[in-house]
Amino acid sequence: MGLLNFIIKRLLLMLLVLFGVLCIVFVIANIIPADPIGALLGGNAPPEVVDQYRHKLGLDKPLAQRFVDYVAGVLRWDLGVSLRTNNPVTEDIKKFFPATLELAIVATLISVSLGIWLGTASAVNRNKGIDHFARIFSILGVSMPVFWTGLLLLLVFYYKLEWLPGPGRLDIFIFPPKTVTGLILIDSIIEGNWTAFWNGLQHLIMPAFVLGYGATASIARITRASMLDCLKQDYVRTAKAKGLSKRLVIRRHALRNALIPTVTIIGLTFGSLLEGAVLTETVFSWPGLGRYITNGYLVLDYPAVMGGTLYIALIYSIANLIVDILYAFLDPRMRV
Amino acid sequence: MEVLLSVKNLRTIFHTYRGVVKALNGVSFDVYKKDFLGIVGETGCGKSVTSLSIMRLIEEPGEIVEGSVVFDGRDLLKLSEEEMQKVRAKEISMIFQEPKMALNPVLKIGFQIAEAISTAEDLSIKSKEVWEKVYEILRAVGLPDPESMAEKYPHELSGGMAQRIMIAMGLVTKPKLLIADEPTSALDVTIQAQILHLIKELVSEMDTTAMIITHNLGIVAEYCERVVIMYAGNVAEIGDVKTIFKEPLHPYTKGLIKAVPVIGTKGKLQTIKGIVPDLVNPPSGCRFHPRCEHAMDICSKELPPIKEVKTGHFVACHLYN
Repeated sequence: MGLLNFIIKRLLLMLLVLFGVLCIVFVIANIIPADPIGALLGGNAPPEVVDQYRHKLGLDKPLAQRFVDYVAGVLRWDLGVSLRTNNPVTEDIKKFFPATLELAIVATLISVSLGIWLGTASAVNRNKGIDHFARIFSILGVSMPVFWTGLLLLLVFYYKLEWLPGPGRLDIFIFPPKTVTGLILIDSIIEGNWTAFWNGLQHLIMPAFVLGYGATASIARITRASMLDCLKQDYVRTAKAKGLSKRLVIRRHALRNALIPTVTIIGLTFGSLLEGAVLTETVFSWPGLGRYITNGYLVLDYPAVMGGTLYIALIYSIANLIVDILYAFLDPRMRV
Repeated sequence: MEVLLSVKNLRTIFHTYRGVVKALNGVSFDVYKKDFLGIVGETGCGKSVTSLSIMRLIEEPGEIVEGSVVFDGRDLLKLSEEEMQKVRAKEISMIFQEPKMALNPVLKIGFQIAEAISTAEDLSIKSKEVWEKVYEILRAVGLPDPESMAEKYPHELSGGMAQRIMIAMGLVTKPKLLIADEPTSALDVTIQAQILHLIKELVSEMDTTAMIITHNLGIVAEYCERVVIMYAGNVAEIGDVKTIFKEPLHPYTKGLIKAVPVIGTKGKLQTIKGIVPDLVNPPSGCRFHPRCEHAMDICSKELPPIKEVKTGHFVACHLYN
């Protein structure tokens, strides 16, 4: 009951946040001094064609009216028509988002498992080899820009060593599995297409690592700090006094407590993963939502940019809601 | 009387930025079987460090540098970590000062007790046998409705209940020795007596041995049979409670007993002059000599050895050499 109330409360708050995002996105898209019609038709278009287009896109209406129309559209899950692809934005999102989701999920898996492992290992072996390694690894992770790491890895593993495939989700000669979920790994498992699975996995490794690197670093640092704190707590001493092995003391008693702050970070980094996806997808030519938004920007395709951004905000909010529920699950004190 | 635990010349130090803290400066005492021993001293005199050293739970930057802890015929300081884990699981239990901090906040208390049983007896933590014992011990420590109690988390308990859980956890494995480190300091005065009664009762029921660490002489007078008085990392005096309270020999013990207020007497409370020494640079010789009224030349030069002046009454003071 308590949990249900909590979830409802959080859902209402989430709607408020999304409305805020919508306002900001709308205002930014409409006040920057650039003309989408000009970008669409070029500088030499005859004035009557320009007016015709302006009317067609509804840009001749007053700003307030356009806002109301847009909000009404969003409520009906209609985000307008992309100026570049001429498809409804919702269709485009459906087409491009699974690629981003797959990338973000694999990146999260990599960063959560690697980050927690590194953080725990460096807290337990404080100021020893692994701790120093993790420290350098993390500093590089948070300070290197995503596009640079991406280019560097492409240069080394794709161009020089030829160990991993380059851009895209699959090699050109691989038949993609039938689209069910849109996630290549899952679809190829459903179809039993192991060639596509293996190839898709190889394609995923580099962009997912690049995307997850920064998050790995922050998860590792937070886990280390909170683990060090937990190892000093009285209940860890009690666990040792009970005669538990070092492994059980760390896994069962310290780690579960140490993960509470880490989970918060995971929620926040999931947001940065979606945001980082814009750059990663551009570097790796990944046909995802991030690249869709970037390409939209380049031609001032406002409906696409606004719709895509709003959608990412929605996913981000949902991710944080899940984190909050996880939080209550991990820490019984949060359930009251 | 048969000796269960014999601590000899135990030296534990802590490496800090200020320098090396000589927390234990050669502590020696014996614990007999079925003893109810009190270890008394001011804050920072090394009572807790002694118990943690016995359990080998001294963490970095601490280090046991010398001495022996012979328990049931084996020197615990020479055991491997795995063997020591078995000793902690089965033979020596420990209860800590802050019961609510000493329980893991994210695990149900039933699970935390079950864990102690399953570790000691090598049973699966889910087995029926283990959980029957959990309910049994919860009843034994006076907690009503053990089944629902076992499902609770530590934050749902009061301090007194939490300490009962700690006692349950410590005694459920039927250890040969129970070490209680200030078991009641964090509790309300009204609860303190209940908890101590409970410990005393269960210990004598189980025919086991207990070592209570406290700074409260009242607790010692009321519950203990023998007492070890510690000062600044040394043992000052050992004896049975009656002797120590009636005929204290060490000047520190005398001061300590005079410092206890007696109801019905007015007048200024006696104190021991001076403060507890800094253990990075402890006084030379007897560490008590700067505060001692009877200090002699030799006191600042030589550490007095501990000497049996009467059967069972030991004192470490140059006055009795």
